[in-house]
Amino acid sequence: MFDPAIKILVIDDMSTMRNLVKKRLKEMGYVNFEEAEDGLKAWAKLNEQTDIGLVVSDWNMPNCTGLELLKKVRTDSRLKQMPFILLTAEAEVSQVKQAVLAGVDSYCIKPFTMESLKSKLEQVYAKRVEKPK
Amino acid sequence: MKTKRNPEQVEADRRSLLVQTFVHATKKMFEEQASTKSTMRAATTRGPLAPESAIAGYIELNSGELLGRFVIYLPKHSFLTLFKNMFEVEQNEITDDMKDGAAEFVNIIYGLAKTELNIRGFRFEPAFPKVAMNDEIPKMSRSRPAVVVPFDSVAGPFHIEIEFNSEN
Repeated sequence: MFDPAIKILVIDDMSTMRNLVKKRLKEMGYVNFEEAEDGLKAWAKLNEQTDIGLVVSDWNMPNCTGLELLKKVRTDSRLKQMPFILLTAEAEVSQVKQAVLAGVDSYCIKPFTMESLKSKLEQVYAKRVEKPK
Repeated sequence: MKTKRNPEQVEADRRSLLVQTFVHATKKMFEEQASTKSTMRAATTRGPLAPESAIAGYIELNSGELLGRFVIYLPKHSFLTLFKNMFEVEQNEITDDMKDGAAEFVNIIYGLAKTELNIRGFRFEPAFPKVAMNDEIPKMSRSRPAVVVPFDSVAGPFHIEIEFNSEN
């Protein structure tokens, strides 16, 4: 698993869902969080704070969606290797394909359990840290 | 030889599929995200008065020629219990901060239903849920025909409405 001290940016326009995601991540041992309520604010935080090591983002948000944020991240020279998980109610095959084409590391569908989120984090860790590109 | 089905029957089948899919999505969302099993009661058509409820989450439905709205109405006790079961936060009153919990219920239900329905030929796009509370609920438009599905659950009763534009 990732280092428990890794700073995780949790992005969702619903504060209750951000809190739930943080709670699940805390139960896995993570302690260091940053939050944003849409992709625009998340983008600002990613540019201000250089110690963010993982992004867990909703898709469907006002101002800048999770997919739009992912595309910005993947075209930024400093951020393009950032591990990025979409946690979303958007589960259509066409949308999953869009996310994969944009470079998402993993895709977790709501409703989600701690086990499903943990499994996605383990997949991303294996891909990004154990076997880096 | 295939017999051609009349347009009214085709439309009735589409609406039936829509209602069944939202019923299934509602049950699945509460069972998987809030560990709360629910059972639907007999569906009816909507009456003129809004049901007794403290909070309602809703989302506009738009699949090309099919327009409507999905609404979930929750009495106070049911909402507080489902909120606690889902977000693990216990409250005695519904505060403004909790409104987006109701929006998230709708967001997940709509996401589940949209995925199923679009596989079957609908063309629903992402949409944003909204929430009405207390005095706002009776002011919500009730002019369109709707199917009402009541549910029982250990958290308490609640019900959903799927309304259609009358010209659909």
